[in-house]
Amino acid sequence: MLDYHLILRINYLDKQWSMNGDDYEGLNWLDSSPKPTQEELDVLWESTQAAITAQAAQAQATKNSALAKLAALGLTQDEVKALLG
Amino acid sequence: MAVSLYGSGQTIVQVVQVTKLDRFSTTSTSYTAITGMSASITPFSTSNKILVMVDMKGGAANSSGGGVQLLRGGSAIYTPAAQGSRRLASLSSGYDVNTSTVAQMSAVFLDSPATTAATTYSLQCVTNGGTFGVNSSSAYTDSTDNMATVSSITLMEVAYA
Repeated sequence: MLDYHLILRINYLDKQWSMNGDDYEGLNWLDSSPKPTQEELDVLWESTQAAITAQAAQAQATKNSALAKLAALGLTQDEVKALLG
Repeated sequence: MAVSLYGSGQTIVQVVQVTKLDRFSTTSTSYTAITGMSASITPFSTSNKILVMVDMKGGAANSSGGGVQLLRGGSAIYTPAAQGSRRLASLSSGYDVNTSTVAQMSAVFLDSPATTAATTYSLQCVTNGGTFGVNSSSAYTDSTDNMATVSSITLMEVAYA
């Protein structure tokens, strides 16, 4: 299901807006720039999902890299878990 | 919902509750109204007080901050004294590094509106430029590790015999 909150967060983080509920009608544009149309937001859904997936993959890669560096220092996974929770 | 319980001494004579079941989010760096978080009550007496109870969940993105202000009519109430450049808020979610946390926020305030006219209590929120979500984390991603929640405002009119 298309998520306008997510589309706005990924693509319009530098603009001022509020969004209530799940429908486009809930978008209150507070910015001095033109309010995006529903069609303009709809076409961003696919790239938004891709961006979210990429962000998650990057976060996992960063975590894996950190764990690898800790392991190289000799820490076991249990010791890392004890440190980081 | 309204319940009247008449008796002697300090008595709850009227209760109003509004719940918000859906999501709200904003990037606004100035206070903006949270749609659906508004409740009105008409006191029976000017000497009665209104116990305002806010049960709210939400989250702010990393470094965004997340402040919520309680209003009576158009005026902020239950606000702290000025503290440097800090934004003034009735309650705050803080912010979340991984954006998936939903913070529990609450405020309980005994107000003295001194009126018998319909009085509206509402909430507005602000961020430091990132996103602030109500009834959800700031991440919004649709997954089982993100919680969807509910918020409410409850007003209780307290009569003093």
